[in-house]
Amino acid sequence: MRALMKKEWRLAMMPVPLLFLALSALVLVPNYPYYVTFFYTTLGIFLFFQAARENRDIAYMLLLPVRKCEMVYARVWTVVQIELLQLVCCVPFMLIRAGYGIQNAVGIEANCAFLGFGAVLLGVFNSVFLPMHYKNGYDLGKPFIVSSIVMFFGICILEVLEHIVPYMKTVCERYDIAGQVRQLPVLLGGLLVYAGLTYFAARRSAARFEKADL
Amino acid sequence: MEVLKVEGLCKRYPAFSLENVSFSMQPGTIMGLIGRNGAGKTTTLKSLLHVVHPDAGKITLLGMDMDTQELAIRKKLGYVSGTAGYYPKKRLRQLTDVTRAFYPDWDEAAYRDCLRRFALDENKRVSELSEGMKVKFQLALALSHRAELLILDEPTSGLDPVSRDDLLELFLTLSERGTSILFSTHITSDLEKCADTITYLQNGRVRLAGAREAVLAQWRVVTGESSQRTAALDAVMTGCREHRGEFEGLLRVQDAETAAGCAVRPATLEELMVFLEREAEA
Repeated sequence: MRALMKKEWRLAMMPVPLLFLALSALVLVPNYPYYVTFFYTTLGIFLFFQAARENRDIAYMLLLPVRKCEMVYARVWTVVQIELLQLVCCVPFMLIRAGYGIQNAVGIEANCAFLGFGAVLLGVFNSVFLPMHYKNGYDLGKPFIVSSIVMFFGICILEVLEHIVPYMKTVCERYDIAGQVRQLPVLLGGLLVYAGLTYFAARRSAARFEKADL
Repeated sequence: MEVLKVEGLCKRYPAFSLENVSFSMQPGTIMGLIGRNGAGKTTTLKSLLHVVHPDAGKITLLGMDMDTQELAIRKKLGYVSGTAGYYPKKRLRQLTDVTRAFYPDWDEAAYRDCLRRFALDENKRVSELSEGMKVKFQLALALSHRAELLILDEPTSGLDPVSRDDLLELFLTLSERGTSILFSTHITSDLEKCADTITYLQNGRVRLAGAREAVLAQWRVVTGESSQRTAALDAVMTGCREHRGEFEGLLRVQDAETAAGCAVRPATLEELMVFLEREAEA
């Protein structure tokens, strides 16, 4: 796995997903639907998969002493690293945003709850995109469109719940430090959901790819 | 012990099926897997590598079962594709650096020797290499982890005659050092130069298999004027064609006496394949 991860970062990785990490700065925009930040994360992941496909990454790996399931696990682990980096990159910008002292008029605040719900959205993306792609290790367009639609509805649902669920309305809308500490269970819960969804996505993707005739 | 044993390999697709393919290879030999485009050569090789999942059959590589010892087998296996141009914008040095990490027993001296022998410049990008040099680079990687069995998918396709000859010379040298080589091709003249055994696939089935000389010794090409064709000759001739008052066809060696008066000569692999394919089309 270590050698495969070296391959992922030295050969397969392209600059775009890493440049998109800078889009965490979108939380600096005073009024903005901040969940869109995670859409850019998934766009970067899509472009990363596309570049690997065009570079015939799978053809290269066929030369190596690795099983097909290991190819999948290495790629999923790379995706997880990108997504977690995106979450982490949001933190300094969130702290700056908190200094504005104004509410976001068009969606959730840039706070701990936002990161927790963002993790859930990324987990949902992984659970749709990865197994669909690894059905044959080639298709990317359809998996990305479907997972983006699912993610869009996820964003809509979260934004609506923000207005109708009292806990979310009162606790998840705060951006002061004390308020954000109260949101830590949401962040932890979101990360757990993310881990669960991604774990099952990886298992399902590996099983599907193992069966695929390349 | 056979270095490779394939027994009853079957793979069915909607438009094509590989039916009961069986063959085996001895260590240190070169086997040519031949057949026209779409005969099942690549499907067979991909099945060996577990890239395609056979519906039936058993594959034993280097004395190990591919189903249960895939990783151990892959460490001793080298796969080279004549059409592979992966990571075209990466430098050879980068690819080697990554590949090396997968093999604990990587032989750096052997790798350096291959670079020198194949005149490969590590600072070049894959896209800057000719097709022949790409194959040689893949071979360099395979030989540097001491692959005992090389599986090559059409390694000579797209190469000029000099590069092809160069590569075939290399195969012979490797074979003399004990490396076993299985390579698929539809350029049968390559096999005349280096193959010890051949397996000829036709429409997903093994049509002929065995030592190259033994296979060729079973067949004769008969040519003559159209007036020399007889019903008895037609009955035993395979893939006969007649143009401009002359005919040619393939005979089993035991039927050669029916071609009395006609010119009869040994068949080349290319002729054998062409006549047998004509027969299959008829």
